[in-house]
Amino acid sequence: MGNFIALLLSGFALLLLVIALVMFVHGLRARLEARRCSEVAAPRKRH
Amino acid sequence: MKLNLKARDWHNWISVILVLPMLLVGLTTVFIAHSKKLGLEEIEVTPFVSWLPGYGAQAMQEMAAEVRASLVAADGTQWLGTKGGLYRITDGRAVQEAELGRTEVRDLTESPFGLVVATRNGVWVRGAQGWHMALRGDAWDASLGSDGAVAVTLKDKGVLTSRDGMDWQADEPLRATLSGMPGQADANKPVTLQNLVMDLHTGKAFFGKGSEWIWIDLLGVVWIFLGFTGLYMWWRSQTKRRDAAIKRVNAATEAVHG
Repeated sequence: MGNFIALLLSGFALLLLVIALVMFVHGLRARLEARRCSEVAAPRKRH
Repeated sequence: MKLNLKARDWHNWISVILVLPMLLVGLTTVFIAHSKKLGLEEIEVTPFVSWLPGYGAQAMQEMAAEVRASLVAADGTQWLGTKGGLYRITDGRAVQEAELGRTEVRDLTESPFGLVVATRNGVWVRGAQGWHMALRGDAWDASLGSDGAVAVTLKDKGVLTSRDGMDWQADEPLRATLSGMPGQADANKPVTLQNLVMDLHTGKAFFGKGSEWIWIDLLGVVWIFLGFTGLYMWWRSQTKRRDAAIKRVNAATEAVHG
């Protein structure tokens, strides 16, 4: 019984870590994309 | 590149960089607090962790080189119990006993019914039929008595003895002696600063040994909650910033072409 709960909790913990990792990578990519867009938009505004 | 980091930026960036280790520590804290009830010691994960540096070939070799016990059997075989498994020395080569895996060996003794090995995951006996795990648990030592019985010491179970390696009995006279011992030894034990620091850290100072899991769980769960919600808020802010930037680019493009 203990082993089953341990495996269940491990699965849950792993899922949480995967979600966190995806959010982390996705957030970093969004940040880079935002910066790129700002760089593209900035010269146009000057025109 | 201009660096103009404010306290909030420092907070954000350090949190974002360390959020994954933070979550890992929070999650493992809860597991450690309940390791006995969950039976973590009995779940082997060797095949899944060999990619981690701490369990790689070199780390395992270092562990194997740490000898914890040795024995020369009556037939001349030399046995070496290491932190990373049990080895038999044959023709100058160390051959690992696969049945025991990479469990830490604490003690070895030879008995009339075979070799008895005290390991971190239990007591193993090598009889005429080969290896079998005689007892589960955290075994500390194994010794042969003058009467031919082997005594082993296991965490939480105390001293157990056997004459055949199959049937293990608690050493009743010893248990009676122990139960008759006054608790003065513990009561008079001085508390060092090291003890206090450790007990404040684990929560034993507030909840006692039996309930320290409350403290550990509380902090572990809060740690996970703060890490996860922080990461979520950061992720939301970054995606919103990106969406706003895309909108601005689109608006600027329309203004130029329109």
